[in-house]
Amino acid sequence: MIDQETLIPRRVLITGVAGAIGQVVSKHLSNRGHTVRGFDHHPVTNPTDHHVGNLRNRGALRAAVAGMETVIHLAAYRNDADFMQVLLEPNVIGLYEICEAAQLAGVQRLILASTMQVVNGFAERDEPLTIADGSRPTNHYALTKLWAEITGDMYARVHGLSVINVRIGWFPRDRIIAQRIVNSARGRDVYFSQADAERFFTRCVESPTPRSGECVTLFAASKPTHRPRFDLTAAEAAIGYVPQDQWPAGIPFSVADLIPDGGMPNVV
Amino acid sequence: MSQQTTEPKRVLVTGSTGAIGQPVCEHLLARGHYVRGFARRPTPGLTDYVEGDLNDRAKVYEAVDGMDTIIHLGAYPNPADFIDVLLQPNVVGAYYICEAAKDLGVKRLILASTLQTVTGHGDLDHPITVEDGPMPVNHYALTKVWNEVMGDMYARVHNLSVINVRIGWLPRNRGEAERLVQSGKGKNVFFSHDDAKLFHERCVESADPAPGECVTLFATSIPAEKARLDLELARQVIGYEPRDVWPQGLPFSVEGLE
Repeated sequence: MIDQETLIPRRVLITGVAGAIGQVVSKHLSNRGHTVRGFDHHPVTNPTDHHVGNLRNRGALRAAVAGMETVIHLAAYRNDADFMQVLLEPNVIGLYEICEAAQLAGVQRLILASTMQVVNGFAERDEPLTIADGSRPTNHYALTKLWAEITGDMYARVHGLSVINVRIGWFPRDRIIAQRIVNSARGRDVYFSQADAERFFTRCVESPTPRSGECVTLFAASKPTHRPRFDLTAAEAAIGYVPQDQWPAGIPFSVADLIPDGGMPNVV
Repeated sequence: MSQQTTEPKRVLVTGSTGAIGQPVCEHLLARGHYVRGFARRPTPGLTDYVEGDLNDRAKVYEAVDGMDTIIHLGAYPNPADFIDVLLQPNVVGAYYICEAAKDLGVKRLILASTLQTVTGHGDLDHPITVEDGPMPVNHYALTKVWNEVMGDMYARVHNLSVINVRIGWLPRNRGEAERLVQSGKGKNVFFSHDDAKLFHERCVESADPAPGECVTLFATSIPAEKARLDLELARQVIGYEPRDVWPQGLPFSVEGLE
C-alpha cells in the first residue's frame, strides 16, 4: 500500500514522545521524511524540535500543536492506578486538552493511543475479537482509554477530524515486560513489536483513510504466535497495516534467555 | 410489574432538589420506600438528606452509607465548558458515586444519562435503540456516555445491578415547555413529570437487571407523532409503560403555548 513516490511529508506532533513507543516512532517518521515535533514533560534529544510541557498546561500544549497536521497522542498514564490521584489529570483532562488543541489548530488527523485492555473483560474464545464486539474494560485505566475512543469519535463527527483510535498490544519496552509476556499464556499472541509499531504509526500518518469526519478504532499487534486474540484485518483494510513480526522478532534487546516463569530478568 | 409496593427499599436520590429529583423523592416516599436526598441545599419534603457537593468524597460516602439503591441524578445537566463546569460533577462526582456504591454494598445503581447521547443520529427509519450506539455532539452528552460505560464496568466487575437512564426532554418550567413546543420533534421525546415518577419507581422496584448486569434504557412518555427513541427495552426489562402524551403529566399549565 505504501507508495514511496507519492509520500506526502507531514508535520507530526507526538505527545509522550519520551516513552518507548514515542522514541521509535519519532525516529522512524523522521527517517521517512516527515517533520516531527515532540511534546513530553521529559526533555529528549529525539526529535530535535521538542516542547517540554505538561498536558495540563494549555498554553504549552497549544504552542506545540500549532502548525501541525497530524497529532499522535501517546502521552498518558499507561497502567491501572488511582483514578483521582493518578489517572484523571493525564488521561481525562489531558485527553480533552489535546483534542481541543487539535480541533482549534486545524489538525487534520488525530491518532489516539488506546489499549488492548479495553477488551480485557472478554473471555477466551476461538474467534479473534473485533471492534464490533464492543469493549469490556475491567479497570479505571482501561476505562479512561475507552472514554478517549468515544471522545475521538465525537471530534471526528462534530469537528471533521480524521481520527484513529489505536488499541495498542503488548509492547515490551524493557526486559521486565518481555518476561511478563513470556509468562503470560496469551502474551505472545498480543505482542506488538518495535518494528511493527513503526509500521503501524507510519500507516496512521501516511494513510489517506480514514477521511475527514471519520473515526476508526483498530487493534495494533504483531502476528500471533499461536492463535489470534485480536482481529488485525480491519487495520489492513482501514490503513494498510500488515504486521511483519512474530514474537520475539522486532525486539531491540535479547530475550533468548527468558523462559516462562523464569523469575525477574536481569534488567541490564 | 405489579402495582403493589414491593419490599421497601432504602433509596438515595442525588440531585434531590432538581426538577426530576423532587417528584421522584415524593413519589418513592408515597410508595413506602425510605428516601434520603443529596444536594447542595436541603431537600424539601425529606427528613433525611445530606447537603454537599458531588466532588466531596466524604459527603458522598456519608450519603451512600446504609442505602441499597442509588438514583444518581446529580449532575450539571447542560452543555458547558468541560474543565470549568462539567468535570467535577459529571466525571469526578459520578466516579465517587460508583466507588461509594461498590464500597458500601449498594445493590442497584441507577445512573441518569440523557437523550443527548444519541443527538448525532440523523433521521432513522426506526426508533433509536441502544444497539445504534451513542452519538454525542457536545461534552455534556459525552460525560454521560462516559458514565454509561462506567456503569457497565461496575456491573460486570463489582456485581452491581446498573440501569443507565437516557432521560428524555422533561420541561422544568413553562419557558422550557415553550422551547419543546417550538422544536418540532420535542413532543416525540417528551418525558412528563408523572412518567418520570413511574420510570424511577420501576427502576427501584423491578427485579431486573440482575446483579452483574447493566442495561441502558430510554425514558420518555408516549411519543405524540412518531417514536424517535425505543421504549421496548424499558418495557421488557423493568416493566415501564408510559401513560402520558404531551402535554399530559406536567405540574404546570402549558395553555397558550401551542
